[in-house]
Amino acid sequence: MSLVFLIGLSWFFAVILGVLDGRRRWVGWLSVAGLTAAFAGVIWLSVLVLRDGTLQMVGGDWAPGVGIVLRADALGVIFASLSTAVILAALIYEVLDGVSSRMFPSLMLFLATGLNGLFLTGDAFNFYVFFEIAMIASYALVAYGEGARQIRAAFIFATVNLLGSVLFLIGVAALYHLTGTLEMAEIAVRTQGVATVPVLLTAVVIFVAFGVKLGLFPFHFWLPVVYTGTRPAVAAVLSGALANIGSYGLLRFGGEILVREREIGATALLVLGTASIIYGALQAISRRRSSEVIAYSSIGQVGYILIAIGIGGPVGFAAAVVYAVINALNKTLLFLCCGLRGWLVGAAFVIAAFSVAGVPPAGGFLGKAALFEAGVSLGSPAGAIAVVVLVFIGGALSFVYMFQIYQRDFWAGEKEGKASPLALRSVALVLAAMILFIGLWPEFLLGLSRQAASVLSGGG
Amino acid sequence: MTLLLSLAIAMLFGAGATLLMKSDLIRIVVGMVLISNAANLFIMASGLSRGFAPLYPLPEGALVSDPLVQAMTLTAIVIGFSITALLLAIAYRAYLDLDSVELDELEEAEEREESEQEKEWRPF
Amino acid sequence: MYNVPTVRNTPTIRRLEGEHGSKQNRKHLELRFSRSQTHPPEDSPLTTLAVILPLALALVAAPLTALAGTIRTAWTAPVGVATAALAFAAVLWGWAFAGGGSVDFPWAPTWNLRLAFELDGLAALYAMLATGIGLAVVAYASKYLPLHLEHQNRPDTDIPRFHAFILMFMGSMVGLVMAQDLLLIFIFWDLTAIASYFLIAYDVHEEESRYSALMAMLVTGITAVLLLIGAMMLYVEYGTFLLPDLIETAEPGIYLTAAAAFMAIAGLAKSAQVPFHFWLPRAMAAPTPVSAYLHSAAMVAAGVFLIGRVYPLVQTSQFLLDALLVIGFASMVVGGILALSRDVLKQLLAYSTISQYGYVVFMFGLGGPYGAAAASFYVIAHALAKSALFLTAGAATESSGGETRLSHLGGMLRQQPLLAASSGAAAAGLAALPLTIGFFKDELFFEAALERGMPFPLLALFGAILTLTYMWRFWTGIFLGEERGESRPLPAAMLAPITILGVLTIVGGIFVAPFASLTEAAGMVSFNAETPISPAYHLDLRPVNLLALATFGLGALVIISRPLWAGAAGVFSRIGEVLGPQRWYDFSLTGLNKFSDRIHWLEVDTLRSRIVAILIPLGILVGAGLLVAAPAEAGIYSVGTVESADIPLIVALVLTAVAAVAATVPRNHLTLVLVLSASGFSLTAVYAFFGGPDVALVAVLVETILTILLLAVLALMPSAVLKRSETHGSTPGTKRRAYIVGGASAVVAFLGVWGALSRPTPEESVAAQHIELAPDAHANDIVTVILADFRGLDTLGEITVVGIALLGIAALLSRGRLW
Repeated sequence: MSLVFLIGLSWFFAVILGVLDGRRRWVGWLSVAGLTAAFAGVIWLSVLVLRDGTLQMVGGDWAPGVGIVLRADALGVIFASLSTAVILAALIYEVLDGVSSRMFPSLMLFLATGLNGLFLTGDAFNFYVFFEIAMIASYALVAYGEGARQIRAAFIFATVNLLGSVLFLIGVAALYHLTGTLEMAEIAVRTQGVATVPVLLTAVVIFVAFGVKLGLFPFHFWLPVVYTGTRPAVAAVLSGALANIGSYGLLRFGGEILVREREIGATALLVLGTASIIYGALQAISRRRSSEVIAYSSIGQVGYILIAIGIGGPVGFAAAVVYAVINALNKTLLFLCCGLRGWLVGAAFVIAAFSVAGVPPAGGFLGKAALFEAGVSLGSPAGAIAVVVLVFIGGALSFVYMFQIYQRDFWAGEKEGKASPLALRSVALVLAAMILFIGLWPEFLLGLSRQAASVLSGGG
Repeated sequence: MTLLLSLAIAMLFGAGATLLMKSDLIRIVVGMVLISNAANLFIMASGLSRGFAPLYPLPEGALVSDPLVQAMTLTAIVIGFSITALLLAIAYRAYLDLDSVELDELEEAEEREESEQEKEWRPF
Repeated sequence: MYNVPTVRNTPTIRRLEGEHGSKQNRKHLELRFSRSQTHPPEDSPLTTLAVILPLALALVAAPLTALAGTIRTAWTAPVGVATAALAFAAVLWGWAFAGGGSVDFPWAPTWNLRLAFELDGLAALYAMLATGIGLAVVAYASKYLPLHLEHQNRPDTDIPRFHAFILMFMGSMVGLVMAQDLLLIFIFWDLTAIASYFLIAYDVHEEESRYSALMAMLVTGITAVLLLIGAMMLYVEYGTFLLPDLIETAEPGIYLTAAAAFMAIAGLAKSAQVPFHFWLPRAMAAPTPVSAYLHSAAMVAAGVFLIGRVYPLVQTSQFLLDALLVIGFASMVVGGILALSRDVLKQLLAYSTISQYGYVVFMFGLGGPYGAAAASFYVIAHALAKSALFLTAGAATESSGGETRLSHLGGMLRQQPLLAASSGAAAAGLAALPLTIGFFKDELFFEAALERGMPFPLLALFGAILTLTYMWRFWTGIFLGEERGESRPLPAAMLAPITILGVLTIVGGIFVAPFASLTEAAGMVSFNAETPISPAYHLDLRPVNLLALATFGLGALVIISRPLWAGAAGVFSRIGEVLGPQRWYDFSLTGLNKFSDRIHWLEVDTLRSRIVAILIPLGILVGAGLLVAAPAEAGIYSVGTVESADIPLIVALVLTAVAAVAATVPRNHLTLVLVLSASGFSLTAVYAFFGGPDVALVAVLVETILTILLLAVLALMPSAVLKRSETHGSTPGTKRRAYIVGGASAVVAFLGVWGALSRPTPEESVAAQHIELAPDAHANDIVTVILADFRGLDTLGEITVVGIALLGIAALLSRGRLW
């Protein structure tokens, strides 16, 4: 029952906030309180799951499959905690900065509801429904601020991602047609008995759908204009929380449901991942605005996640989780910093820059290390060398673009002006502290990622 | 029947994609509607059985249409409609800002901002 | 040729204990120290404290100083000096009195990471340098920095940042040298890079500083990743990052060679060895105390330290040793010759550093007990001399009122006798004159080269002559010759560190025993076996002494014949500027930026292309999927059966599809909407004939609202705007492209959809269960039961989506007002 309660908590607050004027300070803080409660709930659930193993419940107490199966496993709760934390940080940031639209707090909570729902459901169609809750909330959020740039970004974002959603819907329907069930675990079992071609095509469609969400090359073309056009808090949420749908979806569908298909397509995943890494990094190098650099950097960074998923196995999946978590935190922090000024901001920004480049003690080096581990562990020496070289080159390019933009913005004085309020800057500092914490106590994330990988097929 | 359904779905999808290539916001919205319809029809078509409407009392031994895909289609139709409505609102809002429904003008604004940034610069 | 020991022929006592876990091995490592008799037998509180105390003091120095500096700027320097002094005292105590020790805590069990620190000989040597010279530098900076800031009109509040980073540098060096876990080593390794990055960029308003900081970060940061790769390779193969365990278990072979090579490259880059040497002279952009520290005891020393630390792995491969020889010699020569032609004081010293660490790398390459131990000894001697020389350069510049060029300085001997004497001692030390510690460094160096045989002694001789020559040039250039202008008196806090370092250089030349025993302890860690050395003065004509004499004699000749070769050295450095690696660095960096600009056009900026960029790869992937999987399976597609009852359904389908295609034709928006709704309403008929009355009903409702909405929006827009868009931008070309994209999408969709729908239906399905169970839910309409009961959560979600859409529309159109 706790699962429904959890998802329901943020939903309940979101509904209440929907009729209130979010620009009022107390409403803002009410939304923070609501999301904090939801976050506490997710953390509590995570503790339960990580301690006792997967929790499962079926809607209406029907047999699994007849009713909707809700299932909290290690992979799901990690992504749920991460996304809720990111949304909470962005919400606090925006409330401190002054919300400019009535609907903003409510939409943020709806977004959290949708994300938590899809991370915690075990039913493919229910996944789609929560997916759409998150997406429609984010379409409205991109328009937040309602300036011409935001509207433009929102239209592009909504059109492109709607196409992605439709593709996903088609994929879910195809899976039902092929297996006669919507329960993910059962689909995983039954696809084994179905001919390869239709399942593979379905897998392709689902992959493209998630690729669009994730902003993977070549599905990324919507991403830079949206991330730079929208407000920093929303960009942070898009890159730190919403993009998790893509990485989680690829892990869940590729690692648990369409296992055989992932193996067939592993080469394609590696190729696309490589393209993403190189392309994103090369584009990022000479971009002028920090938000633009970070947007292209996200395209590159998700390439690493794809590579890790392509490698698969306990080491590969764990690396993907490590990378996804760190990348989400990095990008959230960086986008929030884009809207801030003052020297503490420089400190927070540079910690995130170290993290992106993989310089310890910022947490990012763990992601790189996990990828090297996955690469070196590959059976074929040629494959191992290729992955290691790729990650090395990608990392080298990320040094170039992160430090160039850092120096330009914070040293060469291109970003001078009045310092932002201390409260706002401390949100960034808290995130930076989290990134440092992950780097200094690696067991936290490494242990979690191993547990998450163990729920996936071949990840145990 | 399989072939015919597939053809119809493909035509809906293709027509939608064609409209997405147009340069006005309204047509793009219409294109998205068609693509959503293609998906909805596909859900309906992916039902595992076809026959009588799934309403009790059912005729003895007769085939019943798959009720689950119908439920899914219903949900998808409503969701698709909501999103279309939102998209339409965004398009209308864009019109209010630009006084035009031309995508090109939207993109020209984007281009302008972009090229402003590309002025002389130093990398560090 | 010296027979290189592999890790396997280590002393017997090790092998006896080899079977046990890491704990025993580590215990045993301590046993092998020369001071083992003073070791307590077990992990006593004393040995633990001997590690923890220096480490903790070194690590808290930076935060404490930063805190003190934030509270009151004036507190920065005293607190900084005090913390550095405490750290130095703790290291000294930990090694000399407590006899070293080790600690080992679990850190990240998933990767078998351990917080393992050990104060062994190697660690003690480098930690003393880091804290001792750190102390000297911080003390010097307490006077130097205010002057430096005054020249630049900067506020005093910039002071704490400097001290904090210098002390962070010191702390990370101490951590680095004590760490035994490769990942821990990597973390401290990069911490030193971070500290140096901010210190080099301390004068952040100057472009030169920013350029140099970026260069240092890129060169040392990117190569540091190689250390991580090497460590990860070893971990994947042997399941541990713990260096002592790895040394125990790693099997020589190409895999180990590759891993060790990666780590060695990281070390070489940090030690500014050819071809990575170019970043070091640029790092001179930092204030002088930073250079003094960076060159003698921190950054650059960290590089050779790492090689010394992983040397037991490196020396399993003769290839790696030979590579070190080549790189070391190349750096020795390149650094030496360039030092001969530099005019700026700090640059001369910087190239000298490259050359001097070239010696160290050369000695590691020579191998053997002498090579390993002599390398460590060399680092001590060099650190004392070089830090003093850098501080001298800063003092000379300060005293002369900002002059940094050798050609504009001179004759300071009379005005600054103490400075001249102290720096003279340091210069003599670097030039290896007798009665300085430097004499022994060259003695050991020659001995290692002689042990290896010809032609290495000659190469060593060449290097030593170069050193002598440029040191002569440096010292005489500042202190001899005619006086250039008035020289200002220097504060005692600036002179004292130089004097102390100079005195130490002399003391080391007389009482060499303590330095030698420390070196032996360090050499044992590197060589993984005893490395007895016996530096001493021998008044006879043994080969080592002959080489030393040759150095002095030939050196004098070279100095006298300067006019003959000065031009050649100039040409050499000019060639280096044109073809050298710095050129390559600049070329790649600007090249990358230009290339990045050039490929930016690839980024599409129209919505159309953004959509095409999804559809085309989708089509390609679907096609690839078909190609990969289809040949194995026949009969993917089935046409299906058509019955007479299906005819109404077919008619509705045809209507839907035709109307949809027709929607692509009209120009007029009104027609467009009407054709769309024709398609939509036909689709509701399809649903109805499909046996879905509920779906059909809802679809009718939705279609109606949608049509009204679209018409309403059209009504709200002036017809002129709509008219404009009807004619605008629809050239035959764009039209054709739209149809091509549409047609191609249709084909791909058709292949995919048909493939999926052609599958025979699965035997079990949830739908059948739903039909069966519906009466239990007390309802007759099964679809309603599913929506309301079985899958009620979906319906709730669906309603939520509608609600959010309403909120969004309200936010967009009525400033968020719902009513």
